[in-house]
This record gives sequence, structure tokens and C-alpha cells, in this order.
Amino acid sequence: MSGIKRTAADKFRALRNAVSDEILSMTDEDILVDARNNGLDPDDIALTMKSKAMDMIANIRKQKLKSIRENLNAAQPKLVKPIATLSLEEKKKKILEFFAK
Amino acid sequence: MENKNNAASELDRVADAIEKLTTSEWNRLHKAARSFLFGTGFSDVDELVNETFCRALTGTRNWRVDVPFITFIINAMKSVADGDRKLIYKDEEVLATDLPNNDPDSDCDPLERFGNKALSPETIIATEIDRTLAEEDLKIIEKHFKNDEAVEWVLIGIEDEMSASEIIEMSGLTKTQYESARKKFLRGLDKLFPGRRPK
Repeated sequence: MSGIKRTAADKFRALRNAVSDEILSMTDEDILVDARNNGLDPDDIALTMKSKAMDMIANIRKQKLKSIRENLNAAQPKLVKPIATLSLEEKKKKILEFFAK
Repeated sequence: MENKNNAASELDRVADAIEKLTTSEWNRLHKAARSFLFGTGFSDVDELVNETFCRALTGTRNWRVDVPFITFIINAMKSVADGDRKLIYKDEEVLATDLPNNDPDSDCDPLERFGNKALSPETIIATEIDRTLAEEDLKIIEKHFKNDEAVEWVLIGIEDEMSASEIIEMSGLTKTQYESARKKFLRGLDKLFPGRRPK
């Protein structure tokens, strides 16, 4: 026994540790029975939670991609699009030269 | 670059583990979240679970390879419920350097130099709210189990971090009575905080 005056937060920390150990020690069957006893549908709980988690993962991935793109754009010098400087005649000549090789 | 690659692979590793959770693991997580709501500012299960997943996915909480994912995520959720803000507040002290600058010639705003984030009015108000919530929730738990003497012993024992043998010796409960009361209490806490906390 500690004998030290404990705050509500200290007591909660101890309670949460005990609850956590207890929940981790329950069998899969215990968990499913407990959910049903609480009026919950275990399949529905799993589906709903998974769907929300998958949405979150997709959002985090999108944000990461966006951030990577922004960093790349900031780091790279702007690419200048080549300007078409050759006339049609010159292009035709180049093609002929290419196939003549 | 290596850090960015690590962060990306950590995101994939955690995302993959989340995707592979079984029905009973989702329900275990749900029960843990329901049970951890007491004494926190989190209003419902979703809020607490989302915050925990977000920290794991963004690498704020690291998942060690040798720990099963469900154990890691429930422990992470417990830490999130315990709250970082209170810990920061408790650890900080007012130091001499926190005092405002009294130099009349200085153009620096004294308030900018005073204290730090942990001692800001916003943090102190938030900490006070957390403390009030914690005390209110503690009363709800104690009131709910008021007429169950065995559970009361278990509650007092856990709060004061006594061992099982100490509680049994002090209370006069048999080992079976103690185990039964312990299960009833720890597995029943989630029923006390089922809904959204009114704000």
C-alpha cells in the first residue's frame, strides 16, 4: 500500500492499467459473449470500426502524397517546356535523315 | 530520405496490421476504448480510437516488432486516455527565468517571455477541466458499486495499487470471491460511460 495521497488522475492510471490487463487476458469467446451481453452485435462493431479506420488510412496516405508532391515541386526547378522551333520542312528533313542512316 | 522511407514503411506496417484485425480483436479494442473513457475529455469510443490510430499511423507511437499489435494499440490507447497534457503540467515548475522582463527600455512584450506552453492560461484551464472530469467520473464509479462490498474492496485496492493478497487479507474475502469481484468490476466499467459526454 502506498500510503501517499493519490489524485483522481493517479487513481485512473492505476484503474486503466488493471482494466487493460483484464481485457487483454479475456479469451476471444469471452470478448464476443461480453459484446452480445452488452446488446452489441460483434460483427457490426468490427465492420463499422474497420470501415472508419480504412477511411482514416486512406486520408493519411493522401495527405502524405500531397506533402511529398509539394516538397518535390518546391525542391525542383520549374521545367521549361521545349518550344517548337523547327519548321515543318526542317522536321521532314530530320525524319528523312533518320531513316537514311 | 531514409527517415521518410521509414515513416512510409511504418505507415504501411501499421495499416496492414489494422486491416488484418479479426472480429474479436475489433471488439476487444472497442471494449478497451469504452472502458478507458472514464476520467478523460474524450467524448466517445470513436474519438479515442481515432486519436490512437492516428498516432500509430503517423509514427508518433512506435510499434515494436516483438509486441502483438492488439497489445500495442490497447496500451497506446491507455496512454492517450491518461493524457499528455496533465503530465506536462505536473512536470513543470515556475523558474526565475519565467519572470517577466522588468527592463522598461525593452520593447519585448513581457507576456511573451512569461512561462511556457504548459503554464499558459489555456493549458491550465484545460487541465482544470480534466481534473474536474476525473473527479466526477470517480464519483460515478464509486456510486455505481456502492452496495457491493467485495467490489468496493477491489476498487480501493486497485486505486491504491495494493496486491491481490493484500486486498484478500485486509477484506477477509476468499480468493474466489476476490477474483469474481475483480472480474465483475473491471469488465463492467465500460457500461458506466456508454454515451457521448455532454459538452
